[in-house]
Amino acid sequence: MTLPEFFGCTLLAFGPPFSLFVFTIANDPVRIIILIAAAFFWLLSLLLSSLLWFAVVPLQDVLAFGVVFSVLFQECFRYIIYRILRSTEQGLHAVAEDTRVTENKHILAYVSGLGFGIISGMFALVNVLADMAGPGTMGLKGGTELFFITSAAQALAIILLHTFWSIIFFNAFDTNNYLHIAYVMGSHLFVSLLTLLNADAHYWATLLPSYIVTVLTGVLAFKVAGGSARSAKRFIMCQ
Amino acid sequence: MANLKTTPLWLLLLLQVIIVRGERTRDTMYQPILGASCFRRLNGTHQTGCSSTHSGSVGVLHLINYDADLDFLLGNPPSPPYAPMIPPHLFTRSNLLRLKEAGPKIISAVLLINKSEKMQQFSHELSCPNKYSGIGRGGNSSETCDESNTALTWNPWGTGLLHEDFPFPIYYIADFDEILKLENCFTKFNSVNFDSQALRSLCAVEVKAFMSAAVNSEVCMRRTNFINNLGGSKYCDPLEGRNVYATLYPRNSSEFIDETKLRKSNPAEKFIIISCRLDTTSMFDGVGVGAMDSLTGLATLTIVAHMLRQLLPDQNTLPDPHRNVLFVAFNGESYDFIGSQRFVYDMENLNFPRRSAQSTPISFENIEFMLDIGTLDDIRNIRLHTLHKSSTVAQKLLQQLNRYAKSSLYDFQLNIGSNAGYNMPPTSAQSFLRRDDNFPAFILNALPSNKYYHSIYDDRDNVGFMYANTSQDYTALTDVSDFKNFNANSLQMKIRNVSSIVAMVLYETLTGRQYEYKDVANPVLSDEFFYCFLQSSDCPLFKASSNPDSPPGLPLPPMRYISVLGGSQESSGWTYRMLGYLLSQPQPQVLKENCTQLPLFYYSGFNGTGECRLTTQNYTHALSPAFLINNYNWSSGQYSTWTESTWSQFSARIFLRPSKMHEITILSIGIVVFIISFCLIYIISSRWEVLFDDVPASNAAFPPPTNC
Amino acid sequence: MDISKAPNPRKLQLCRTYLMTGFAFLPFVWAINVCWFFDEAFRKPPYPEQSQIKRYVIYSAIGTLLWLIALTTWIIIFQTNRADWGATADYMSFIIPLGSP
Repeated sequence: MTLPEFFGCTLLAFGPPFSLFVFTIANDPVRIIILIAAAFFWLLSLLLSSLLWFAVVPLQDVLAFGVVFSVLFQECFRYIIYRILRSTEQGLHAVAEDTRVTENKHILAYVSGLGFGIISGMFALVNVLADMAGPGTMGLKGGTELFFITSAAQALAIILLHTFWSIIFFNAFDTNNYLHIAYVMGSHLFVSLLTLLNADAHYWATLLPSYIVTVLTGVLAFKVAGGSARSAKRFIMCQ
Repeated sequence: MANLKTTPLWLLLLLQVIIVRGERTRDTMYQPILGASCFRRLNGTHQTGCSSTHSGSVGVLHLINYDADLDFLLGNPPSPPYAPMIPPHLFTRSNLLRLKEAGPKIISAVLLINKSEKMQQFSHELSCPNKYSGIGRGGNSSETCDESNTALTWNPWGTGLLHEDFPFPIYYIADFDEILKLENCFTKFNSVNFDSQALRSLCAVEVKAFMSAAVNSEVCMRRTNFINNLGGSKYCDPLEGRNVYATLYPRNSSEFIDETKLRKSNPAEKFIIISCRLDTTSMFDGVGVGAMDSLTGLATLTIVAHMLRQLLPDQNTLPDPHRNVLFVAFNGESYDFIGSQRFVYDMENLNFPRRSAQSTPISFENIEFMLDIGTLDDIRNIRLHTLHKSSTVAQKLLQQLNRYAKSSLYDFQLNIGSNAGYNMPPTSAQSFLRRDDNFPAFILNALPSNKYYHSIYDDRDNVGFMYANTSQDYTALTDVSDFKNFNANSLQMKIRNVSSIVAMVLYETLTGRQYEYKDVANPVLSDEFFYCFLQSSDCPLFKASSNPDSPPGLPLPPMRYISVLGGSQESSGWTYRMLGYLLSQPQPQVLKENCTQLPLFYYSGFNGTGECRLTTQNYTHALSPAFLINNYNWSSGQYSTWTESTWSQFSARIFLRPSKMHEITILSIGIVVFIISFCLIYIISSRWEVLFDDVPASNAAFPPPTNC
Repeated sequence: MDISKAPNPRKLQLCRTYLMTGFAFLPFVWAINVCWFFDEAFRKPPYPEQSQIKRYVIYSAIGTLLWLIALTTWIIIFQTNRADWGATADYMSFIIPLGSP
């Protein structure tokens, strides 16, 4: 991967999350702390999945097995962070300068989801990027030179999905909406298993459904967070 | 290994599953290419050789089949920089200088591919090797070698590229599989349509051969020895090795180590020096055995030594019992006579042999004459070179040489001519003559006919060597009519003939009697010698001349480039043991347990049973005196100043280099997405309330926060 | 420390100390002085010590500028002539680049 490719992919994958961070997280210390805490919990889930992968020797080559359990662990830790955040709400309210954090439940969900997403996106892409430092691009022995850009796009989808999933997930537990919980688990599993198709270089077969799911999940999250077609229309019309 | 194991795990978790069989993604992008690289050497005034850029030079592959193919690269190429793949017959001075002139922006690397079918010649040494360090009245070397007149040069095919400085790395690829990889990659990606190259991803090569040293030896040695050099980084090392010497008879003139006393030579001792060159060189690291340019000389010296050992009686029975023969193989002679210059310097300072050898020093007064064996390209037509025609020793030598060469008793079919005057071949004797042009030094040298002088192609094909693998005893002399099944025109027989003649002349000189026996040198010894030095160090002769317990040599020929301190020094080591073995006397009465201290050495011997022998061989240091003298004037040209740059690695790999178009597209996608998201999110976050004005459902489920 | 909470004589003293320290070939101290006391010198409502602080800040600024010019000039001269100066330049350097004159 050459330098222009590197910057192109990095900007594509991390440009939107960076903008989100700058405008919605950076000016509030409490949100930064929650973001990092969420990232830490995601890392814990990674640790558990790797331990499992390491322990179950016969299934090390069966990627689908690892994927399923990794998804389960991630969702478990999403639940754990949900419990923690809800139980520390009082304390947070006391220290927060900006009371919106605690007044609007979705902000906490959004921030922790972004933390989840950024760290998982980073792990997804940074390893790919670091492993491929050098003057070449993909394609000498099979593979296409679109590999990097699709990887970056996939990482962006994952980051956004995690954000949306957290919003839906937190709200679903608040309101005991089991359908939404099932949706989060299901779509996470679906998107993760989709990436297995990358092994055969079916990049479009992965990317297109992933983005469809991302858009659907985004719409759902928007609705859950209090948006509606009416408010979206009002927003666009600048009223 | 840990890395390899965890990588699939990470990728799996990160849902970037492209690897299924534990193969790293970068392995599908890069393919290593094995080969040998050209590197940088420096002398007192210049730098020569090549270097890549610090991070490695990248160029698009382009196969050159004809001279005209270069025009495509040097005209207005669509996607520079390029890395032409050049077969040896197109690796000419004019082509390389054209590439050099184009500059590293157009030509970033050159690959020399081993497709030698059309090759007629390949020598990149100067046409006058060592021209700055030879003799010549008033420093004028054109008398020994005239570049303007091909007939008067010592390497008429030399292009001198070894002494050029290239701004790009040159990488030699010998293996046919590796060449196939390159060619396949070229045909698959690059040669489809040359005009649209700028729009495509192209197969490119990256060569890493970055050299630390620059400018010249003076600068890089200064920087290496620099007191501020905090990192302790080395920039260059002087070329440095060991000369090997051995005497025919053990010297019994011991000297006690007393540092305070001045050393004195013993005027009674008389030596005849028989010398040759030990090293060779080529443009590429670790390739080149120098079969014709120097190995024939070393073979002759070795066989002469062995034959004299077998023929001559005890030293006390000689007419002059203080006469001895000193065999010397000089190292680093390819680089302005490093070994012989140092030898002369040591001898002048009464420092040869070293004090630690515990024998009296040998001075120039002890030397009766010196017979230097130069390059023997055409072993049938040899000339004896002398500086002064009037030299009686030379005339006598020539007459004796011719008598044996023409003798019907032996039928050697060898012609020995003479040449007097300054037109002397570039061999070690020049270092002695440079100090004193009346020094009795004579050179046996053939007319130059080696088209691969100092190159990677001066191999066994160049000398037509076929290993007979007779397993016969090579330690005894044979009858002149016993060819041991060798063809009369074979290399083994030719070397047998010339060695026998030289040995007979020395026999006559030492004993005062003509040689009349029918015993001559053994062609099997020559066969074994060439096998060891051209094909494999794991060979019978080297095995016989090592300790039975020492490990066998590698199945590769020993490296014969002088190299630097800490280099392999294989060839001097093997020569030391082999010469020691062939010149030593068996000591059957000494037990193995007592045979541990030099000069006693326990050899494996021909049949591997092990035997104790009294040896005479030793090393001297082959490091140019320029590096010993304080405040040496580097541009004076008095001594060799060659140094070798340090480097961290040599490697090459091929991969697809993305087109500018592709890079720009990806970068713009990234930038556009970033900018759009930046603006969008700014707008959303500034009008946040409008978008989410509905009361969130979940908030109702919780009591309003209490005020503290 | 928060400079705005310090009493005025203390500010003056600090500014003066920084100016003096800078004379020990420490241009960065002057640069810090300029940044730190710029608001005090030019933006705050006037108070008795301000004119003095202002003067010190200006002196520091001039000093910084002179240093900047001198250093830039020297670096340009040195870098463009390093190869030509040979041994002299090597003796002046701590890090000599690899592979170049």
